[in-house]
Amino acid sequence: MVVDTNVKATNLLEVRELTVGFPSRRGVVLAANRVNLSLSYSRTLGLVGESGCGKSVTLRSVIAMVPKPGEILSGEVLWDGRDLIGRSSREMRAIRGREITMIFQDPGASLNPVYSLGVQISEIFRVRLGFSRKDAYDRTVDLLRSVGIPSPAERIRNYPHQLSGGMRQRVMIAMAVAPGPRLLLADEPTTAVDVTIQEQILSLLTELQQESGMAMLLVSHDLGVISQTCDDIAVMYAGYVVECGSRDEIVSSPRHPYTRALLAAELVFEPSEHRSRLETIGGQPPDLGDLPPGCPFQQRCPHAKQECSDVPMVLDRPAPEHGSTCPFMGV
Amino acid sequence: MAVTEAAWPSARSGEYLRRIERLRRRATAERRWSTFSMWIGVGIVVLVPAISALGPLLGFGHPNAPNFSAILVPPSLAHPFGTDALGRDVLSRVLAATPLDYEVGGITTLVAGVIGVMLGGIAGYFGGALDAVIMRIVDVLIAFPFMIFVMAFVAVFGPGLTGIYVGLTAFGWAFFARVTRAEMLVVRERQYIAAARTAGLSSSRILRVHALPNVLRPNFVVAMATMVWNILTLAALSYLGLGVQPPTPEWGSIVAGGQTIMFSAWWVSTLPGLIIVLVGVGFSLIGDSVADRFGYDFRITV
Amino acid sequence: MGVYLIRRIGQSVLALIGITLVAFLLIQLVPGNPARVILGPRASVSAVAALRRAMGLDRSLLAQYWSFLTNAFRLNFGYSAVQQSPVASLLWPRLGSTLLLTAYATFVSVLLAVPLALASALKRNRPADHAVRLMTMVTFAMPSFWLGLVLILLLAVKFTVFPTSGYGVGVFGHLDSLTLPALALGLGIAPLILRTLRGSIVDTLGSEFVEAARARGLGELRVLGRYVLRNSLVASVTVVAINVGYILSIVVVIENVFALPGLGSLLVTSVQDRDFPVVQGVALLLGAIVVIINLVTDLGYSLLDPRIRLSGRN
Repeated sequence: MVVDTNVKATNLLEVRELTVGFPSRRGVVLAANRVNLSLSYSRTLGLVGESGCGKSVTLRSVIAMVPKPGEILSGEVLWDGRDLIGRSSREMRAIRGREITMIFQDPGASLNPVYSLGVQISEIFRVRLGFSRKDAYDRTVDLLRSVGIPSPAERIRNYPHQLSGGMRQRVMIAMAVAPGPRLLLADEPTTAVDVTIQEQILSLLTELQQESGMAMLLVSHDLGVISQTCDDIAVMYAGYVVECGSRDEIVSSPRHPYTRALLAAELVFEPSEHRSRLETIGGQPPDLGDLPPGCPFQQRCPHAKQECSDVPMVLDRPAPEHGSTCPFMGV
Repeated sequence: MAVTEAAWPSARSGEYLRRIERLRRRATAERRWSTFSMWIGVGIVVLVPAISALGPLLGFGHPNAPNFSAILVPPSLAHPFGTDALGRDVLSRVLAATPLDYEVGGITTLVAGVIGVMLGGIAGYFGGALDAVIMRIVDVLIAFPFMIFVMAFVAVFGPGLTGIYVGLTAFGWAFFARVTRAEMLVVRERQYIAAARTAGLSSSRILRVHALPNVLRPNFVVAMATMVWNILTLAALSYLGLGVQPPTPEWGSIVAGGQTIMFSAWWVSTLPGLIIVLVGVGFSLIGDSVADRFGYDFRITV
Repeated sequence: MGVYLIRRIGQSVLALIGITLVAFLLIQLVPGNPARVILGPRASVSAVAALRRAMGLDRSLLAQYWSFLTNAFRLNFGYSAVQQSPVASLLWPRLGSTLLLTAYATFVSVLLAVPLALASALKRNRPADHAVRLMTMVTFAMPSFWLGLVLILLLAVKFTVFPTSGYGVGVFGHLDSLTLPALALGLGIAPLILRTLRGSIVDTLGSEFVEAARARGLGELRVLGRYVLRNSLVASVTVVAINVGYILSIVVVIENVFALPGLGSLLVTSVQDRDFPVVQGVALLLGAIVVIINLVTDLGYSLLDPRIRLSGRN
């Protein structure tokens, strides 16, 4: 367990050289490849990239919930300076749902369909936070109100399928912030929701974050969503972090061809059109089992050249500076 | 391989690679086991009647001849299953019963299968009221206690095999019908579209050439399950005295014969049952591996 | 919901009528003269004719069926010439023990199936899973009567834990005597339940709300109980309800193995005696039980799964 004493634990979360592997017919496929991230207290970091780029896997690695048969092969996840990798399941269970919480993409699917909202939410208060039954109930009602659910005292008896998608997402968020976490992991929270609801969800998240001072790690394939809510952005492709920096830096002066392409696609298409960004960028998403040597983006990059095969996929400037793995973009 | 170990020097990763290798080997082993288990099933199902046919040559040829000098002999080399109260060699009787059980099971399964596929095919293809009526009957039939159903036929036709033949057939067709109808619905959709595109092929030809093979495969699994079920039912009915009449040997009746002397001569009742289990497992193995190979979600066992 | 209730009850009534039709037709299928069959070849011609008239066999088919149906709904199942008694009075005393055994056996089978299905689903494709699957395959192929005999040998003769047969006296006597039969039955049914339950649990384990629950840091026991098993409840109740007919079939055999005074042993003797009215009566009664149990479980789903309650049908 190495703690870099040069840099004090100014970062709430530091991911160092995280590598996650999945078995495939051709051996091991690296869904996350030497990923480096850093997130300060009360800041929001966005992970953006197409599906399969490794952002969801990275997110889940933070709380050691990589879906089987995947495994974290190497790297560190430093939470307040302590490495989370290799901790016992009991220790991780204490952290999950208390200090670090998570919201998922499909709000309907994240709630237990056979119990009422009240039962599920107060479960958090009773089981995880030790409240009495009555207190848990009261706090549940308050919680629902605070995320903007009308007539919470009646809603509490509803079942998940009786709520609209937007309301279910609010409940999800409510359950995630109830324990007062220091970090919220959000896996595509707006992808499965209407555009109109998207705005509400995002502003709710921002508002809650400002109130509580919690940090947020937000994953999405939608650059618009990311740029709207995040202070810092990390762009991922084929398991690598290809560019990373503050939101303004990335949006105004991208230093990687893939980021450029994402931004260009963002300008041309409305977010409401569920057209895949892939179509604008051209080509197929990369097959992680069959990557070329060097930069994986060369197959679709408009500026690809011979030397791309020799690129070591390392950020030229470490976080929190604006770094990129592409040595040819200049600036 | 997508990644070599030299890519990152982590001890954990090396162990992971080895674990992946083990997983991969296990996956191929599973596939090979599925085929292997099917052949074991086939082996059992074929060997038992084969040994039965060879019985006389091996010295087990007199299932009904009493031998009062060898009453209630425990299992030994001369009598692997021991002898019963009349001195008859139990193994001989068990082997002699084999053709009967296969015959009853086979014929009832075949006839029920033909009826069921026809009715299920009609229901699935034509739909509408015909479909509704047939499927209602199927539903009620499947829900009904089959043993009582067959017993009722035994009551109607009297003791002996007639009632059993009729009863098992009258009940068994329902499962074939249900499966066939489901397949037919799928096939009909496909053929409808295909026929629209390639106008000119008569629908009966399409049905015969394309639908039939698709329909037959899941019915094979049902047939295996029905065989097991029918043999077990026949054995149970014979045990209860409602099937074959003495001295005709049948697995169930042999077990029944041993019940009164069970406390002292346990082998008469228990060992023949093992043959029933063996044959049942044989058919189940075949049915399950076919279901596995073609991805059907209804299996005989887990 | 009200509409659904009425429709569902209507379906059950139709099913009951269907069963009466089949039971009625049975006696019509008898080759020869049913009255002669019942009384035997040595009975006089006039006695046979009298019985035939008493059974109403000389009337038109429709008239016969009508009276059969109306009698059945009034729980009058005719008269047994063999046993010299109304059929109904033969049936009712025996109903209790059959139902008790069925309930006990279902309980045992669920007790066996749930933990095994859970273990099998959690350790999917590992040795434990394969062992469970192999065991269920072998158990399914075991004839119920044989299983009963083996259990008697092991647990009543070799080790005298339970009585070898009979029904016992008093509630505890009943339960004591029924344990071995229930065990034999339970082992016979458990493979069927396990098959469906395992599939349902595997599905649930992969669902997002289970992942979300784990991400909330809830303990594994709680997740398995309230999130996994609770969601597979509908599936397990369904599979038990579907298999009631199968369960009752095996009950009939087991009652004879253990000499229990239930409907099953009555059925066997009346089939041997060709006592048609009793056979019809037992068939009707047991068929009705299946229909009723299916109806009750269908209506009870709304209690188990709130998604069904309000939409009325899943």
